[in-house]
Amino acid sequence: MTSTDSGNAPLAVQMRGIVKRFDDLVAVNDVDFDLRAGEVHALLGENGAGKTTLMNVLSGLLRPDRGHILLNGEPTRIRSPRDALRRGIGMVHQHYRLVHGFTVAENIHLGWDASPTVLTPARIEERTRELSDRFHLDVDPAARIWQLSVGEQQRVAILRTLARGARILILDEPTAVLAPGETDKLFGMIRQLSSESGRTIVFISHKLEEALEISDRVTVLRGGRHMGTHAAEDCTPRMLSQEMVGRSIEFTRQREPVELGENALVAEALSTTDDRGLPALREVDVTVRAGEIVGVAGVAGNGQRELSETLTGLRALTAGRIQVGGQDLSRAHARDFLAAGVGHIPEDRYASGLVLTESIEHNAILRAFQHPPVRRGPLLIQGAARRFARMLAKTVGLSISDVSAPVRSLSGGNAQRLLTGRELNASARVLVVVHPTRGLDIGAIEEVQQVLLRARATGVAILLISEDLNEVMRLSDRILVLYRGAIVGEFTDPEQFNLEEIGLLMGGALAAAS
Amino acid sequence: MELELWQAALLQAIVIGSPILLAASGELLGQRVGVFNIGIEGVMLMGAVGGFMVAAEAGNVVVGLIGAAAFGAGFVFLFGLATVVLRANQVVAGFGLWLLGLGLSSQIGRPYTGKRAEHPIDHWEIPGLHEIPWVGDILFEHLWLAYVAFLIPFFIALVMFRTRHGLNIRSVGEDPGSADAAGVSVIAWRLAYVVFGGALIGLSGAFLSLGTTQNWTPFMTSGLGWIGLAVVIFAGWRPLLLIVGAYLFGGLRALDFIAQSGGWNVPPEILTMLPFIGTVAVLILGAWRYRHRPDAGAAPRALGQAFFRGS
Amino acid sequence: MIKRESGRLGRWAMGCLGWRLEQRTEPRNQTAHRLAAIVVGVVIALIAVQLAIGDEDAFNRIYRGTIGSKRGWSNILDLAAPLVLTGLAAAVALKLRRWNVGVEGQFFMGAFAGVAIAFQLESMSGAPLLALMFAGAALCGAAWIAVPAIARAYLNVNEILTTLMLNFVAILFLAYIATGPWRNPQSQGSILATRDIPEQARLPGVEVAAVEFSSGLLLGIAVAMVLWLVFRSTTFGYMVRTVGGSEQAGSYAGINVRLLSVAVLLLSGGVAGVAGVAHMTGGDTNAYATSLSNNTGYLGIAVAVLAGGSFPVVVFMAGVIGAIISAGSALRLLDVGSELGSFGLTGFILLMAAIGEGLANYRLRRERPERETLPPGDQASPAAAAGGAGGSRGT
Repeated sequence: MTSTDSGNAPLAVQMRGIVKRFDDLVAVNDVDFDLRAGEVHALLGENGAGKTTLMNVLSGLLRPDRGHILLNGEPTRIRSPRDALRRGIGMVHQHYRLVHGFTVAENIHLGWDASPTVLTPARIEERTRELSDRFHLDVDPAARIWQLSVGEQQRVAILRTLARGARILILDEPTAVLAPGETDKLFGMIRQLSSESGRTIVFISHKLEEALEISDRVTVLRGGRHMGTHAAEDCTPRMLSQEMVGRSIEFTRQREPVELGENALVAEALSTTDDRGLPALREVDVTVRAGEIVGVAGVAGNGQRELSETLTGLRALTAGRIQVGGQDLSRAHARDFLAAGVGHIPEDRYASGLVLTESIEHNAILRAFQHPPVRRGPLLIQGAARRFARMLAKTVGLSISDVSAPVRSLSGGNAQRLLTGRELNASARVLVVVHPTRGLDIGAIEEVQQVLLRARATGVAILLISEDLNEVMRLSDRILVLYRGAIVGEFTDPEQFNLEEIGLLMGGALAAAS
Repeated sequence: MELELWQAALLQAIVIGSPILLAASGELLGQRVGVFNIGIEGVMLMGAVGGFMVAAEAGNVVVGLIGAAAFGAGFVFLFGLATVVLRANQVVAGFGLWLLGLGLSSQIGRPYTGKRAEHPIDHWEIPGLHEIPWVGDILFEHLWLAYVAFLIPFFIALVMFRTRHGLNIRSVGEDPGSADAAGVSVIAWRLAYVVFGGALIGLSGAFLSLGTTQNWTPFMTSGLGWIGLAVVIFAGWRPLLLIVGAYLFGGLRALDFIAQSGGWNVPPEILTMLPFIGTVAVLILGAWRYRHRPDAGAAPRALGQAFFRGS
Repeated sequence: MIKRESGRLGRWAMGCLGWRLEQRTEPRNQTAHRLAAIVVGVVIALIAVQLAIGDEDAFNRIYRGTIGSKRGWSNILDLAAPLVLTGLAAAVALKLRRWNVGVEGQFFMGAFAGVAIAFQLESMSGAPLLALMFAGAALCGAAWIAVPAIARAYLNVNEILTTLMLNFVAILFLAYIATGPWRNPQSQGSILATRDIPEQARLPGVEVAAVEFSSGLLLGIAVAMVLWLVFRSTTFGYMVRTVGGSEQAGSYAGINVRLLSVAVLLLSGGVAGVAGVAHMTGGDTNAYATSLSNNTGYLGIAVAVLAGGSFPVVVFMAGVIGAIISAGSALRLLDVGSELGSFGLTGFILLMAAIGEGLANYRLRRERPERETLPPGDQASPAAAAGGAGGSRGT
């Protein structure tokens, strides 16, 4: 009952007994949720806790299977996002849902009843400029979305929602892809919106500290259920994390010192371009020694993807040199990298690392099918493939009876376990790891991290690219900071890793670091 | 009246190009909202037979044309129901629509096969203009529906690029997920425009059966629908370029007749295949131009993709 | 996991009936849905025939014209023979989720290569000449899809559009050839044809249990078996399945996705080319003619789709479509167009199959009545409601 006795603001929204199923998965299970007019309310939970689903119900994108919603005390049925906006509820999705080929002005005026019936580019750009001034959100009306940074895109999405008269603004994981500096700017904007214009804001997040910093009240969801609602000042991170995961999380640095071996991966002056042909990496030097984990910190979109792709042969270099165990791979393809002992845990495991339409067996041999015993001449030996898959499943501790089951039947944790095991099996030398724990639950996160540390202990050279700064700091022996395609800082002493300093560099503050 | 060769070519370009233009306009509307209607040829036949039947029964050409549009729209509604509402595969359903149109139109048109249209579409001479020497009688003495066909792309361009309505249309074909989030009801818009496009394609069929040939014969469209499809691509999905494409393709198709009367050495088939090769070239060159622009391109980016509201 | 929900319009339509169409997170049982849709399609078509003709003789005629007589069987098998190969051609491309809509054009080009070789080497004896003709046809069919294949792999040009356009080029090319140098002076009317290919370059017919049919059918079945084996138990097949599932995963696994994509489409075009020459050498038309295809290429796509892209099922589905077309011609005598039978019914069934597959994305659920209003107590005092909610459901 912590929440009800403080604050006298009227309830703008009451959601009662909301249930939402997807097939057999109950994403939101009998959840109550209140919003007071003018508050900043953090909705906290792990991946899959039902935060986004619950807010999709409020914003009209999904219809609840059960339950009802009261707006200002009136029972209301919200039929669509449009209907929600008419009632003053607007949501800014994690992927901003802007039409990339359109200009900012076109995106603002799209599907909006208040847009002029007859519109010219000049006219809507002028209107956009006015809106931009009114809400203090700086955007370039004539720019096309694909030309903008993520932070700028976010401003467009927020401006669009505000322009349509949203009094209740739902922000879904708004900080996920922002640099620390941009996050501060966003928080300033949220405070201004709530205090000056009295808007109600829902801040969906899985980051405890951020939620506590910005919000007046916090609601925690776990496994689709409502775990509690509290005034932010009554909360401690420990107590919230307990509610989020069901137990307290204590991450300890259990890293035994490892004797460093030779340089396993040496990349010098790597340069490459992105899909648009624009420079994505500028003369990046990376060296990883056997038994070492080198972390690469950075905000998404600063060249991480291109770095991991060049180091695994998926993207060609425009300049530079890559050596693995003394072998030159500067012009080599993915196959050669694999043959040289480079494993890869890719960013998007469901699109790249696994073939979702196929079986566990098919996925298990993805890195082994071009070599005996699975391959003989042009033939694929089914029996050998099956034995290989069973062996791998046993090694990584997958308790599955049938390796011909579809791989999509595995949980996120098990899928990553299979993938990690397969890559370690395939590569004795170097492992390029990208966001290895994104989207996993706490138990699986711990396990994957342990697997990486064990691999390190056996002398594998690991390059860890992650958005999760805590993860990078916990696992790495050395940290490089990537900003706009270049290494802007290096931290060599694990005892001296400094969150603030790394964050500043990630955001582009070019202070020289030790 | 003796026509010079170039005059004959121009005349034929308009005569054959006009129904192509109508069909291409209809196809463009569908494709701009992301629906690839590969069954255009079948729809055109349904429009041709429907228009002919209704005109014959009602004894009125305008009612006949309305009938043609209704036949086209109703027939495409089936397709829209399958692909837009139920998210069936557009290529499969489109082929189904085409074949069904071929068979169904020849079946229901059997009682009318070989009869003449009693109430055909009239020719209009545009006062004053048709007296211009050299070109007047070539450009300004056509079926009145040909002038309408000429104006439709302008109207589409105006709506598409200068109105709120048009912004919504374009967004649905470009990025339905974002359009949906912005408050555009993707399913309704797609269904509405693919069906509206079907009405135009139906009209193009009636242009033939009530205008050009003034009778109904099975399979009478003889590939004009496919040409309409090619014109949409050739024009890079831009409404005004449809006009250029349609008359160009129509003119090249007319070369058979012209080459014969002109005594040329080039086989007419070779000239007639040029537009199709040109369309392939346009596609490839366009892709080359946009190769570094994953977010842009000539085609509507969601063309052919079913829309699922997701989160 | 992607969470999806059906659109408003669909909901509205179903809601009227008290049911609700719900998006599944992943489609289930597409094959079953497709088959059910085909069966429903055939049943509707039979009812339509009954309504249109109202004559019991119609069904009799259909029966005798198809599976009820040796002649009927022979018809079905002859019609199915080219469809097996064109169906296989389309199915090869579908393995990589590509649409070879140009089967029709490659079919023609295959026949063209066959006729060209036959006329050039007229004096050659049967077996080597036929071997050369088939090899040439495969190469020519593959060449006809080369540009779309490369454009798709390296520039991501939609292969549906390019392959479709090249069909028209092929057909016009055919018209040119048939009216030009090799023209058969006897051909007249709208059907243009070259003179017949030499006797020794024709495939013999086959007779099993007094049912005669084109030997092209046996060839088709052999090709289906070979393709099935190759795609099932070679690393090539494994690579195709991988890339067909996810192109990104393909590159990640070290597969040259672009090369594989080109190779698969060339194979598809090659099979289509073989279909063309097989039909010309084994069928009734022993010449290169505008009537050679009769939409065989397009119907092949229908066959492949109805077969769900599976090679063995393609053989069966080609028979089904063959039977439908036979039924169509059987009806012709009853004042029902054979076009309605051959095209109309195929089209209708294709449309039904597409809908069936679409429906596999959904499941039907009885609409749960929503609790629209509140118990009176709660409504009276929002604050009390909030209090009850905040507390009682806490940890």
